[in-house]
Amino acid sequence: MKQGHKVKFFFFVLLFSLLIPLSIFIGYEPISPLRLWQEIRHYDPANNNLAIEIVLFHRIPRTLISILVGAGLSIGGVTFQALLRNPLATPYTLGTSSFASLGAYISFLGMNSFLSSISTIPIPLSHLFAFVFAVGEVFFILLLIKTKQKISATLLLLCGITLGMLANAFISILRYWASPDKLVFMERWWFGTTQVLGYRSLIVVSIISIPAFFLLWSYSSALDQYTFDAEIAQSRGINIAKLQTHLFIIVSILTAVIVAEIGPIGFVGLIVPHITRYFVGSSHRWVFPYSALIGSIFLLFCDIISRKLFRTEIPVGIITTLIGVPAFLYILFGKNFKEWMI
Amino acid sequence: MNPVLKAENLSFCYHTEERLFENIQFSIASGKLTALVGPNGSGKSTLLRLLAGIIPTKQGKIFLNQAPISSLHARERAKKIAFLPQNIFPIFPLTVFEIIAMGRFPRKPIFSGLTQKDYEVIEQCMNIMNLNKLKDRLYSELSGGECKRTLIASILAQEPEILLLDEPLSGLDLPHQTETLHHLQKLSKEGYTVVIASHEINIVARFAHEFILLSSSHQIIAQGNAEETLTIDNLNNAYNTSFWVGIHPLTKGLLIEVEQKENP
Repeated sequence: MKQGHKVKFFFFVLLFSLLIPLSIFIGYEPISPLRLWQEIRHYDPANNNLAIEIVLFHRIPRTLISILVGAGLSIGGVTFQALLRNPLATPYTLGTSSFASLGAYISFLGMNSFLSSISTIPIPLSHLFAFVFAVGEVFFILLLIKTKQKISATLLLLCGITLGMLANAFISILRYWASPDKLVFMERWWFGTTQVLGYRSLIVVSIISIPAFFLLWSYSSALDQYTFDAEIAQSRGINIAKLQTHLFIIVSILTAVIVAEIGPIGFVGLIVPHITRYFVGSSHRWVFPYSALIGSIFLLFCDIISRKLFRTEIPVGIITTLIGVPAFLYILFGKNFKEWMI
Repeated sequence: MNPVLKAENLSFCYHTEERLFENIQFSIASGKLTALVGPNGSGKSTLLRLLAGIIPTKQGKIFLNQAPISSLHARERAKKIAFLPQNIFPIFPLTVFEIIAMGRFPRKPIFSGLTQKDYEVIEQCMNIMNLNKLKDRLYSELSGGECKRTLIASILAQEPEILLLDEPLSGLDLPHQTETLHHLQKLSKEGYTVVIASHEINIVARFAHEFILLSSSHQIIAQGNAEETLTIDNLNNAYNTSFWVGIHPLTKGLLIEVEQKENP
């Protein structure tokens, strides 16, 4: 086990570190390391330092935000799957992402002269709206849990899916009303895009996702107990209601920030936890860090593809879905999945 | 008798339902195998959960060595009392070793891995339940008897004083029921206080030292050893059915059957 972990860890870290330079040098404007090096050597502020500027203000923040978002979506998925004891439960399938999107959408529409001020979107507003809507939805789900003594995870998942549809219906109304100029930007965001400019998004996402990772990680052994059996977990001293509330809130904040910055990106939170468990087993002590690592690898990979697959760049959310659907079908019909079907 | 768990004026009801228990009292002897018996719905499982502290009492108190359970911190309680529900459906694949190691939870700081001491305790629990050969097998691939042994080893790894088991014999064949009860009896002889809820009244009568008989109206009909507790009158009263109680010709223990009517 110990030896196996070292090999796997080395393999994933290698993959991860190979993707980072690729993500920095591949793009619409291809930049070779040589060109960058020469620009740095002959640096002159008066000149047009295109390569440096692209790398510094576009590629590096984009790479870092893909890493953080990939990791954040994956650990959110791990937590929801464990909390609802269901392989399909993620913030995306449970409607939390949709509600966060609805909140962000409302705040986007509510702003005047929107397009001209994209670069100076007041940070708090869209985040606040996304957060309020996401937490509202999660509290509604928690309320459902509390009204009945026992509510099955499947029922809860169905509720979440339905609520997600409701949020999507509202979003459709807003899209129908929106003026075409606003719609262009909103559509891009709606598909999930990592095309960030500068470091504002990166700072916001890292302020939330890095502490969220360590917080969730600290719940690993409690989650192990809970996924084994809720009553045994209680008899071993875990307060289930508290555990659920804490984790739901942490994940909904994490989801809200990612959605407000990047847009709703599907399938990362759904398939990465399954892939991770295939490699490292069920103990959350390992599942959290490895799914963060594998999630960043997956999103980095999808992001690089999204830049080069067609002549123009397409939003990364489309690529994660295009890759995610066949991958998930493979997992569904693979032999490891029957463990879930109880 | 040296009571380790004691319930005084205990009342309990679930959210909407009428009162389940009304002012019941009982005590559980230290180092004995005690069986909760009674008809379906008499509240055996609920009583075990009250003792385990999983559900809070409405009125009255449960004492663990003279201290009320409700005053203990949940983690401290878990070091004294371990509970095993009837059915377990783990959603992730786990090995026998991992399941036993999970029993160490109340005795570990949040972030630490397994220490030397943890490994020793786990090893010991595997020896007691005869699981060494199954160490790396997946739980989902085990037989019913092996599953039960693994789960009992897992709660033993908590190093508790008291083991509470809900229907530990359900789904097992006769040899495995006997084997499980043998193990539980052995544990009680080593100083553990073991409480089980069970429907298998005949086989439990052979192994348990103490009985608590619950009625379908959630009253405690009798408590004490097999001969005192499992009498025809008490059983008829508890189950609202006519019983036969005799002596088993081979084991010389009690033989309990429902009276057969000519035309049912």
